[in-house]
Amino acid sequence: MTPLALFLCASASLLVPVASQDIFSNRESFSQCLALARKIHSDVYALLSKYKEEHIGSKSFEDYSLVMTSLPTINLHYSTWLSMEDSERLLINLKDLHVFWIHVDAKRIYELESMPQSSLAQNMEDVLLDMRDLLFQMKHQLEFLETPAPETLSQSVPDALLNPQNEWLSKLQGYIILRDLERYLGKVVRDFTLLRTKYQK
Amino acid sequence: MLPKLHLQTLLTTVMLLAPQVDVSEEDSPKAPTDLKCATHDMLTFICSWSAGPETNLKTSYKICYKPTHCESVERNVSGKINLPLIEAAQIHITAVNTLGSATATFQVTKKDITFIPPVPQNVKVVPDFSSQTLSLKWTGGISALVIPTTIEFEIQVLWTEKMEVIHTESYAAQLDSQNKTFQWSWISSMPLKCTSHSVRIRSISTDILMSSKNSSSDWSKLQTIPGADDSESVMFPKDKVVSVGTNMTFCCVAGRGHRIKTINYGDEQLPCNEVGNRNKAITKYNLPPSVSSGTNVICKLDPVGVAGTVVFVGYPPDDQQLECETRDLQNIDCHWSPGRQTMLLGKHKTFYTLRERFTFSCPKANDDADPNGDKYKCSFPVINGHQMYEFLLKAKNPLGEVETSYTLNLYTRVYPYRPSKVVVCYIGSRETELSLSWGVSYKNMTNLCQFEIITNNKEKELRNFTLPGQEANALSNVTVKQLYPDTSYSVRTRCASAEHFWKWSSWSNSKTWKTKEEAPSKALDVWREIKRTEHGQNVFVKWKPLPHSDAKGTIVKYEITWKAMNEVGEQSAFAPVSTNSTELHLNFSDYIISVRAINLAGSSPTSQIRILGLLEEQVDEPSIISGTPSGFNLSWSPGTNETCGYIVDWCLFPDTPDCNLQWQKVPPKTTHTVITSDSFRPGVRYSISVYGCSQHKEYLLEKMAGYTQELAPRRAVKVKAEANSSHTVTLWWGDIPVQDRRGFIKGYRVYYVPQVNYSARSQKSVGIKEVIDITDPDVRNVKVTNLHSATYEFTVRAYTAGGEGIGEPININLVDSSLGLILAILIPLATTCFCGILLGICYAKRNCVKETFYPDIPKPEIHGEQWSVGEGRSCNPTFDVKPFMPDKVCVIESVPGKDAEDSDICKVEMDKCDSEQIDDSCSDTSSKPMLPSYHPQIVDSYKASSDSSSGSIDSCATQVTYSDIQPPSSGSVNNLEVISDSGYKPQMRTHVPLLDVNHTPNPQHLDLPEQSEGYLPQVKVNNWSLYSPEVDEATACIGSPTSVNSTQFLLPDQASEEGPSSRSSSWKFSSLMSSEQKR
Repeated sequence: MTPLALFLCASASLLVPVASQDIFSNRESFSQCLALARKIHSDVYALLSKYKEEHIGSKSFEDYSLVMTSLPTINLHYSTWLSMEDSERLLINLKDLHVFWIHVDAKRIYELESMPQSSLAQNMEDVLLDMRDLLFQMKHQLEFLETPAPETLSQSVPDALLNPQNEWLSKLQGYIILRDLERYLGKVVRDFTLLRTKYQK
Repeated sequence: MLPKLHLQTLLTTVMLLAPQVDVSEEDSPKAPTDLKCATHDMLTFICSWSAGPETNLKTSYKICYKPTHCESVERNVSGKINLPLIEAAQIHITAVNTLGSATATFQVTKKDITFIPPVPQNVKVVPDFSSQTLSLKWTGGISALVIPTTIEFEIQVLWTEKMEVIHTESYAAQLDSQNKTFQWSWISSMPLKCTSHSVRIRSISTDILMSSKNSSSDWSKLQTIPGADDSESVMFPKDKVVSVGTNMTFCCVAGRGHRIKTINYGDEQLPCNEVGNRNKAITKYNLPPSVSSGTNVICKLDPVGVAGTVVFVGYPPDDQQLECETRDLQNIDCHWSPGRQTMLLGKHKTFYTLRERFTFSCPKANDDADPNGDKYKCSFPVINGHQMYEFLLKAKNPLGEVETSYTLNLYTRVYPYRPSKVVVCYIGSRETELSLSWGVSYKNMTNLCQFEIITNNKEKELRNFTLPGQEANALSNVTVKQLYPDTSYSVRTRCASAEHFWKWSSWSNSKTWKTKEEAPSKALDVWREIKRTEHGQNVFVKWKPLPHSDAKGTIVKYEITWKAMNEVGEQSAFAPVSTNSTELHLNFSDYIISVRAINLAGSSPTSQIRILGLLEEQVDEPSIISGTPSGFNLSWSPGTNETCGYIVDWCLFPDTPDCNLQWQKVPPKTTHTVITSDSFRPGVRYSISVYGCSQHKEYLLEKMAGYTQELAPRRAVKVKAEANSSHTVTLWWGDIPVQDRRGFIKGYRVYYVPQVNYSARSQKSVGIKEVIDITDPDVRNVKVTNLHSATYEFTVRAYTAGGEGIGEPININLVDSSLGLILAILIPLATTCFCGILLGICYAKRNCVKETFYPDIPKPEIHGEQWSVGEGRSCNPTFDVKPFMPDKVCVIESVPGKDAEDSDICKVEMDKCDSEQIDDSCSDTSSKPMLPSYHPQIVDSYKASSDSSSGSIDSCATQVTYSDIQPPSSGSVNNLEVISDSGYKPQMRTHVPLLDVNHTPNPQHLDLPEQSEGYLPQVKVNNWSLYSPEVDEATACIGSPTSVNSTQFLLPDQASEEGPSSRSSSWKFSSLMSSEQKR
């Protein structure tokens, strides 16, 4: 699915930079990325459930009081969200998803160290590949919107993530990361839905 | 012991005496009372006393405990005195004020002084939260103790919040002059962070010498180790790694605003112990191995929240099974097995360190893990000139460490590579030379190579060869001998160190070749079949193909050479390899025929047979042999001229034109053999010929025929029949063809059965089947007699040892002649007429018949002299005949024709009586006049004669029987009437023969009617004698009137037992009989 998604995104975004076709191209790109975001959202949801079952001991575990300050905030006022420019919307998503990508990747590495044959690590890698494709696509969409994408995104990994105080905290970190990513991807899906709708007109 | 003795000598005994008080006046001070002394250091005593009632004046005390030493103290309640160590001391305490003084004197001994150990000083607690250990340090609290003494420290650990003592322990020590530091540690089962822990300690004097007044010190100040703060909810311990099977306590500290609901170990909810207000703990016993990510211990909080921790439960490293070897003498490869899984991964996994003792270590012991996970390895280079190596492997994880060592002599642990090249250098017919080489050098080592030789892809053979060591890629030659010509071989090899065998290498690639051919080594096995014609003889020369072991190559053709004995030249021909025979048309001369097989390497030795043209083979009748399912065991008489053995031949398929002639050559002097073949079939007749060989000339010796298994004939016997008369039929049949016999015919069975027509619809009913067994197999006809006029079905079936064959039924209708029919009618008719005439004559002459056969019974005439009775015998009741007055007659019929031996016959006939009549006549026997109960009985002649008493021979021989005077039809009513009138019952007997006079019946064995009572003689008087002699019971004829031959049934055998009345009557008759006999 990942190569297919990549192909779809790339084919929709990299083809014909002719002005008359920009709108059509962007619309298609938003549609494909909406589909990809939905897929990632679905995968992360399943991954979160599996993670909770394997590491926390219960699929139904929830604790919204736990937060990681290094993760992007999800709360956004509706009117603010509604009034955002397209490029701004894409840019925020790009930055935030990149932060999530770093966190998930750090967690994947930690998981592999603990268990070389971990299926969770493999699932995380699949999600990361899809997220990379989505980020790649969003960068191109920003270019179409004539908004320069940041040259380099932050690569710093929080120290607490690399060296958790104890194993339980590490497990909770993974839970928080996936939980917040799943919620954030909900927002991303809504953003792409809005963008696709907007460009369909 | 020594310190105690020392102490004993040094301790001061303080005698406390009653004070001697001097009172000066009323407000003057009172003398001190109640002196108490204690010491903390055996040097200084602290004494206190009671001052008495207070006065308005200030009182000071002066203490004098040595004559030369006095002290003044201001206080009025206690004082401190420095006493020397004395056995006893007098203490004078003087209370002084302005008005006067009062002195009290105390006698103090050592028993009166209490030793109070000092409170431990410098107490310090150091926690180790990871190991959950509290370490305590303190000093004795005495800088210098004059007398060393044994002391005990009591240490208590408390949960500070609840001030609950959770552990108490004593620590024994000895205090001496050196104020040394003591140390104690305690491992808590519960993490120290769970709650605040406090420690206190005190001293207790335990010295025996001080025991009279022992006491403990005060507790030291609490030393508290604070637990986790309550800013957030946490669980302890964190990330603990423990061994499987241990017990472990986990605690949860709820943060502010939270309350602990439950604590789970994995999926298991465990009961909580209350540690504090917001602290709870669980204990899990016998911990099982955890999963790779550890086992979660989760504390659920109220309101919503969780705290958790992870515990890793696993095993310490297992035995490692280190093994090292070299494959190329350049590097040493070590590998080991991790053994049992530790269940610990990630940062808790096992780390390996492999090093050679003196030279180097393996830098990648942990990176080179085999992907399979069960083998770990590392490689070291060999050092020139260094053969001995010692390796040490350390495996370590958080739960333990294991070391394994391995000593290696380089040349004793060589696991060589397989030969990289195997080349066939030379191929002969019986040997092949191979060359081996390796990609690495084994020059200092002798190789032991094992060759697996597979012959024709079937037989496998292992051969070992020793090869000297060679440089890399140098060839080592091996000659493989003892091979077979023209044979395919496949070989592969593996090698090991010959001097110090350690391991075989893996197998090399296989190499295949075929050895060269040789000329056939054996002559062909040749035989012939001769068919003589008018013009000559057709000789079929046959041979058996050589087996591969004898052919030693591929036979390409056969050469046949023949030469007449009387001629010089010879002829030859070749036969292709595909044939095993050839046909020669020869004249009647004698010939020598030679055959040989030819392959590419040469030809085989020549096989010769001789054909005697004019020799007629005598064809005798074959002898019959029996076979087994697998073949025949043959034996024959030795030939007279046999010099070169025998030949046995037979046709494998005798029913086919090409009978597939088989032969077997038997060595000389052997006259038996076994021929077997899978092609032998049951029911097939095999003809076997035995030829003798004399001077290379074969002559027919014997013929045999037999079956491996006989079966029933396959074909029915063809039968012809001819009716000779209405009762006789003659059957003929022919032979069954030999091929249909399927066994040797042992005989024939002729079945015939009459066919009966019962209805117009010609429904046949088969009568009884009869059979005639003809055991002579040569008989071909049979005459069947005693037949009736009917339609008969005849079937003839041949039978062998294998069973009876099928038959074809043939029907013959037999018809009676008219003469016989007429005779069959007339003879019974004539017989009937004759009987009628005879009856008429008898009727006409009935009076004559009556006189002859049934005369009137004469009345008895009594003459006085003759009737005289002997003395003692006044009367003869037998002749005291009174007229009977029969009132009823019981008619009892005998049944003509019934078997006289039937003993129940009497009872059967009694049933014919009216029951009333029977009762009257049979039961009223005791009344008088009595009707003699007489029943006609049919007595078997033999029985009657044999049962007669020996004592009545004469009387029994009296020849008057009713068989003579009564007609056979004695059951008529008229006869009965006659009997009734005369009071006499005739004894009807049919065809009773006369008694044998020489035979003595035994009357005791006679079957007599139970009711027979008496008898009236029915003979002429003049046949009787009145003389009645003394009765000899032993010899008397117990029977009654012998004249009527009724002894048997008129006198019951139990008469002698029943009573004198019955016996008396028998006596009378027996007397008569005896008298008659004597006369």
